Amino acid sequence: MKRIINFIFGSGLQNKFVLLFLLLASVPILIVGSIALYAIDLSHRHDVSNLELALLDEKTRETEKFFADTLGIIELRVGFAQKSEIALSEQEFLLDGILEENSAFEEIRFVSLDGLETAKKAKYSVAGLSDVSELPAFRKARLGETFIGEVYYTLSGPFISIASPVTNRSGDIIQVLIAEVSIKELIDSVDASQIGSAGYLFLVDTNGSLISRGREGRIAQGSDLSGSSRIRDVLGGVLFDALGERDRYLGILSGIPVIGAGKKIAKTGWAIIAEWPIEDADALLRDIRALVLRISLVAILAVFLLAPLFARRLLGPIRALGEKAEEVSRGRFDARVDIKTKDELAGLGATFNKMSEGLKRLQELKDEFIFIAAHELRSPVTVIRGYISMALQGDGGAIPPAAKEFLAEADRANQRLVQLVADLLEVARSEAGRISISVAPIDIKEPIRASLKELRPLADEKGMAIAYDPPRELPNVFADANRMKEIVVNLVGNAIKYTPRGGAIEVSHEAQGNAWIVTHVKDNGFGIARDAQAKIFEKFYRVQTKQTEEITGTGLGLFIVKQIVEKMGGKIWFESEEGKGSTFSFSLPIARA
Amino acid sequence: MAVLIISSTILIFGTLFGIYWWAGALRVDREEFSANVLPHHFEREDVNIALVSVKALYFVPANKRDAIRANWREVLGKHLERLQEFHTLESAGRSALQFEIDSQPVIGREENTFYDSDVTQHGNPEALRRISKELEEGGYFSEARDGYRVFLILYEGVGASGSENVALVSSAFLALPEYGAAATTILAHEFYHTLGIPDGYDLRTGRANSNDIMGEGRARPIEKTFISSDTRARIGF
Repeated sequence: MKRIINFIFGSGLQNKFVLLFLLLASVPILIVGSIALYAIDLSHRHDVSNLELALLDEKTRETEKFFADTLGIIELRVGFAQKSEIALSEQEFLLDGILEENSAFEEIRFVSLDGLETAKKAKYSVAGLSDVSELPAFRKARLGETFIGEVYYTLSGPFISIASPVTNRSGDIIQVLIAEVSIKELIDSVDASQIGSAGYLFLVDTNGSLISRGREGRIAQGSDLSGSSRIRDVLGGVLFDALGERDRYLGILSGIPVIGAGKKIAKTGWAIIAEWPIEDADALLRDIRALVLRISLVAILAVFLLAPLFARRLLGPIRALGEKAEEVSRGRFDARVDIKTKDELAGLGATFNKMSEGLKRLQELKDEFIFIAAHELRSPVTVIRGYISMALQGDGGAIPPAAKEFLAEADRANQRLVQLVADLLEVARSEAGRISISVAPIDIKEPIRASLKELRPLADEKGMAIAYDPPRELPNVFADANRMKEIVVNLVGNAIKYTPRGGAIEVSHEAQGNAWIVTHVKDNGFGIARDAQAKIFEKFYRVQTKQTEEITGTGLGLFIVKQIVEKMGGKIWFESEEGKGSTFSFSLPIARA
Repeated sequence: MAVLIISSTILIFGTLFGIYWWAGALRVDREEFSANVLPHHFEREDVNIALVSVKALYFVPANKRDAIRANWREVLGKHLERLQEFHTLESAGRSALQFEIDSQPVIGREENTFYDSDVTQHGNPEALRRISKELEEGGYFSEARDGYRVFLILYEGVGASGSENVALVSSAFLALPEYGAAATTILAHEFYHTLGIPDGYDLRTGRANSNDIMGEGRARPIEKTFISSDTRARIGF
């Protein structure tokens, strides 16, 4: 988990890249996705609307044609100009003809202007002629208007009464024709209409009664739907087209969510409604929406996963440059980066390598200069030392005490200069790889004892004790005896210098398994501050405190010691606590017989 | 920065799902319906006719035992089934009609001349009145039933008449071929009088003021007649 978190949330720059990638990739995906969804939805709504309205228009035309045809049949105009009724035989002949001509006519009758039936024909047996003067069909037709009655429902299907005046050649009304017409064929046609696999059409008459039940047979024919505000609106002439906010509703017939459209049929005053269950109408849209969501989701997840990868890849060369720059800062001028991005970063890498080469060359020149300078200084300072020594010994004659004191001071300064030149030469040799070490199996007790003997006067001068009690059977180690002395002189010399008067120094050995002999130089001196400990083996570094300000040194001793120990195949380290003292330790490989 | 990435991620996914649920999401309008009234008696809205229980019987005057029709139950049952279909259609399924037919004819106490009137032009309401009275005295109407009760008397005599809860139809209308297709219509016409629906024609002149089963349509076959929308509205169909 931690690795995953580290992978995603790396450095600050990586996070910035990740965030940038996420925003740059996700925002367009979201914008395009939302536009796509909106456009698809809008287009789909229009498609549904067009489909429903087209079907409504088709059925409206069919209905209007049906009534134009049936009314056209009974809008009778006779060829004579007299204001008299048609001869009875001709009436019956005409009625037979009408019944035969159009199968929708079930019953038809001629009515005199005073409302008495004069002839009647039907496809079924009917009673005798009667007085229909009170019927609305007669009364309207008598006034010269065609009549389309309300739909009524019989066991053989829905019917409608129509009536029309019969006129003579002069346009005078001479009789009235009233017919009972079956509209079953028309209703069957509407019932058979289908939108998609579940959409249906239905008709509602002027009273709000359901004429056709569509393909959805849940509600009985003739049911009163006038309670629906939508039906009332359509009967009132308001069209709804499947595009409005309210055009998705619970179906009037089905009771499930539908997309609806509806209009009024002008000729009859009926409402024709299309309802398409959303489940069916939006099936494809739903699939597309799910697909768009899935694609967007996968794309964003891919961006989310790939962004850290890209960021890390982009930052790889920068990280490599940083690591190599760190090495250069530690003096390793042979550090090189290998960036193959073929872009500005590759150029930067090449420039870095040139810079490293330049620094390396500069370091070589400096080392060469130090080596030459130290080498050339060694002879004059040695000569100076010799002559001062001779002068102090009176080889040049007696010298006054004051001059002797001056010469002694000059001698001490010269000795420091001799030490500095020697150290510089050692450093230069070390860095140029020209330090000469001759490793052989030796008993390190001898060079240590010799070194301690050499340092004894210095320790005595400060009233300090140096303890060295090596075990009798200490294994031989691989080391250079002369260099071993140099190490001990440096470490014990430092211990003497940085331990107050009366302090104690202990030199001891410790075997680490069968591989190493570790030598410890322990003092109870000033100790080293924690912030100085990291730099203690660097060239020219000296701990600067009030306690050490009087102590002279070049700052090269520990650097040289570290180089020598490592050249002999060992390691050097220390433990120190300020005010309590330090223990410097170095290991050397045990020499096996 | 990590917080910014997490916030952006939440925002991105939140926006994605928000877009999905918002763009083209299903929103359904609530259709407003005004409540329909319950089916009820033509003149009395408090009398519910959602269920109409018809009990049919064959009433034979004492002197007409020999004229008892052998298949009267079968014939009556067939017409009542057609009436049942018609009633279901016209009420748009809002009112149910159930019926039962007595197994045996009811023999009247009197002879047919007692029940029949001279003029049957108005449907022989006298026979209906007298037979109803006799049946009531015999405790025939006291039996409790569910729904609105209707007694339909198939009368071995003349005439057809209907009034509150009771209708009478001559067996001749149902059995004789000359009444043919309109036989059930006659039965239905009288039945609807029991629900309070008045005639749609003038009893005196015969002039129709409606085209439906109560008026001009009473002479058509039951398959071709109907109850007018005005009447249906007034009885809550």
